[in-house]
Amino acid sequence: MWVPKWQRDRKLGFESPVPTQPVSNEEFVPRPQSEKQKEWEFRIDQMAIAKSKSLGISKREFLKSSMGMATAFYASNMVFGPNWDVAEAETFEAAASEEKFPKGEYFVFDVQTHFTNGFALGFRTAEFVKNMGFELTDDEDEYSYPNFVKELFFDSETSLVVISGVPGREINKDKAGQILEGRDRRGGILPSWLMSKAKGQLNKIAGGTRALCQGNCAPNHYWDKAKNQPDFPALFDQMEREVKQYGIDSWKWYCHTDPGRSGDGFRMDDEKLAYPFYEKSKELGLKVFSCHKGYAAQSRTLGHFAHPGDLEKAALDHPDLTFIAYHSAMKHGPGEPEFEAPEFFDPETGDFAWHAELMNIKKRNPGIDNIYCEIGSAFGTTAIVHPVMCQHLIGKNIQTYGADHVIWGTDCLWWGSPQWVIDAMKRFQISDELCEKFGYQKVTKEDKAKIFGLNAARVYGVDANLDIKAFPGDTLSQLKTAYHEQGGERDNAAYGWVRAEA
Amino acid sequence: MRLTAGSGQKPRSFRTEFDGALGSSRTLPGKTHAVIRTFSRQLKSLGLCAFSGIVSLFCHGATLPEHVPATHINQDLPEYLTGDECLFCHRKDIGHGWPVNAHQLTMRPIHALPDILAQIIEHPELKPFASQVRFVLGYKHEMRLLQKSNEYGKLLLLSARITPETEGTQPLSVIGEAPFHWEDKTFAQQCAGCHTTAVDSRTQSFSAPGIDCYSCHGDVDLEHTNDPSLVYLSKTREDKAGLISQICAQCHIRTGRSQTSGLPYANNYVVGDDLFADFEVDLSETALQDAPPRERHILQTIKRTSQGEQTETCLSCHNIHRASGRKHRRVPKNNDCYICHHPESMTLTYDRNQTHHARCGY
Repeated sequence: MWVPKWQRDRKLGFESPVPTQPVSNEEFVPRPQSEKQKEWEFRIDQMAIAKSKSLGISKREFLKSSMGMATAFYASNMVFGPNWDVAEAETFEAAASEEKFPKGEYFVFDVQTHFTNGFALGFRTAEFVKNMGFELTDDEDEYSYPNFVKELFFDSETSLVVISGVPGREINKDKAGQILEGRDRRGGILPSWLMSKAKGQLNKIAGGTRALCQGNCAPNHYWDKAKNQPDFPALFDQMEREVKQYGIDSWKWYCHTDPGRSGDGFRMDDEKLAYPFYEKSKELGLKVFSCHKGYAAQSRTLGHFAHPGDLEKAALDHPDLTFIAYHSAMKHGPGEPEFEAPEFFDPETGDFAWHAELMNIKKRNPGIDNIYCEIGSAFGTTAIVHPVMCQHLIGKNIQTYGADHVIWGTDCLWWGSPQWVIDAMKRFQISDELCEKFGYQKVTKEDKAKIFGLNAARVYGVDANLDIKAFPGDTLSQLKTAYHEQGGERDNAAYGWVRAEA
Repeated sequence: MRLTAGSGQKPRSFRTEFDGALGSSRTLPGKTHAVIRTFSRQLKSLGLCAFSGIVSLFCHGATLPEHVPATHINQDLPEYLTGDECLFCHRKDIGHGWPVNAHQLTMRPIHALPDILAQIIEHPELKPFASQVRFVLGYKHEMRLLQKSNEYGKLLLLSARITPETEGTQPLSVIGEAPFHWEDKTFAQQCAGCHTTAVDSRTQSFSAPGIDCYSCHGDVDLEHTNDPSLVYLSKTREDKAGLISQICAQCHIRTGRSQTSGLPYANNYVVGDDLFADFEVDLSETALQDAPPRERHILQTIKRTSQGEQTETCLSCHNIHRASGRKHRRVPKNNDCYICHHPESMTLTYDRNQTHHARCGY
């Protein structure tokens, strides 16, 4: 039985600053809370009661503070072991955290953020939800653009975002041959035209660059059935539109979807499908290719196209292009039954399915430097569910690809405000035991600075000296200050789903 | 036989771009509403009316035309929302069970059946074709092998009929005259209508292997996220029993034939169309009596619902997404039960693995 996390927390009178169980981003079925997760939650609650009382503030106020956040990580260490860099003093003294992790210490550039085009994601009205006695409404507003601005920019330290695509394609012309515009182009729950529009709006308000956007167009989106190959004129038209008119900054590919009804997915190393796209993109001056890899259960029949194996040849053949493997190609997320299957994760090697294949590409080709590992959802969810796996994930990404090839993404606002994921990374460290056994290096502040934003800035050509320095003085920062001065505060609500019985 | 196609779609408001994305302030829930209101005031106070205006700008209404065609016979098929797009949101309720659902498995990719592939590779007469096999039709009882054609939406069918090894007791057996060969028309003319999605009868080509969401739910409008009744077979929809049964009938009637194409599947049927405008089926008492038990049950249900004599549809007893027919056990015993069950023991009167119909060969 599922309920929104915020609803469950408020019912229990307990709003943890960090999800204490996997919250479904609707890309998987939430799993029950484990005994350890229950203990973690219990400890947070108990500590929050005691500390808020001694500080003379409400528990809710406490949990929304940096002390509440520190308490969550401190309690996690008590239950799961010393995985997080947190001192007890931080749990009752706000200044301790602020001194240790000063706001603005890192430039946070999130390359995986989403909202929807006014569409509630649907399942609140599913029969089985009703059968549980829940009277839920479709809260499309929780997934809306205004809330996106609030959660990403006002409630977190995120400075710059990439509005990231989801499966869907635009229809270029109506049956009479007239070019369509705006919503008439359709394109799914977050189409390219809308990402572009949101980017433009945000940057206009900010008076600088605060948002970039992706384009959903992919090689199998426009299909010539007579020739049984991509309809290259239509495809290239759309590419030109997305680059020149929409001003997209990267492509976002879902190789395991077929919105153009080509009859199949596609591989990124397919010389007949993908390579002409690469060449056209180079001609248009766009050289960043973001691709959903892993989380393969998102497909009816084409999930195997989410395997990262096709990146190797594509990257080798196109050294002038940049490929960003989203989710670090982790095959299953927590919540999918396969996540706990022995074949998914091998604790002896620290390898997990498909991610290991992504690592092998670099091992086979040490000279390859145009593949990046994005950690959206993969880092946040494993941090909650399986901190050791989380350490393997980051440890192997850095060990194999280097700290300058790991890129920050969160998949928010599917997860509400990303501040808890940011705090998790700030406090993240790999244990001595794993470093010794697997040869991982401790993650330094310099590494984190690269991961949080400097790597993505390099990939996207953001000028650290010009653009980033302008943030504190721009209009969005003024709005954020005004928002906080008027009492705005981070909501601990994660916009996902958990099991009600937990 | 003609049935009225469902015309239950009413004109509905259709929001302009950004409207939904930004949300109408009228519909925002308390807390979010307050935040946005505050946010807008802040923007105005800073002289930034543009963004604050967005919140209220997009409440304009337009109207979608009411359009439910009676048929798509020899017409273009819609550019429907594909299942992979559907599952981006619906993996939570559908995705986890769908990979093992019988309707999903009407066609299986060979890479999902490594044991079967190993048997094919080991068989001397099948080995030459092993590397070309892409899909499998059928499963335990009988299998057919398919490879992709160079043509759009076409598959080639291997002439061999295969019964795979069962629990190590019976080796893989092959029926058919060797040497085997790939047939280029059989699948398109016999199987495609029910084993693939959106077959265009004019070209006999399909848009996706297997049964996509579109096959049963039709051309889904994204607005269904706010109004589920826009989707056929939605629980919130009230379509006539005959219309619902037609959706199942498009595949589960194996004795039909298109009057316009001559093919054993309807000509460009889209859910909501009038299936029987084109698809001719003998529903006479003689035909029903001559049909095997399961066929008879299906034909009888289609006939009664189509003629308005019965309001219970196939879905009253069969839950497709859960792959369950348990609800049919709740039906009080009546003569219909004895089509498939012995009156006393209620055991099945037929072998589950027996061939359904000669046309399908399984």
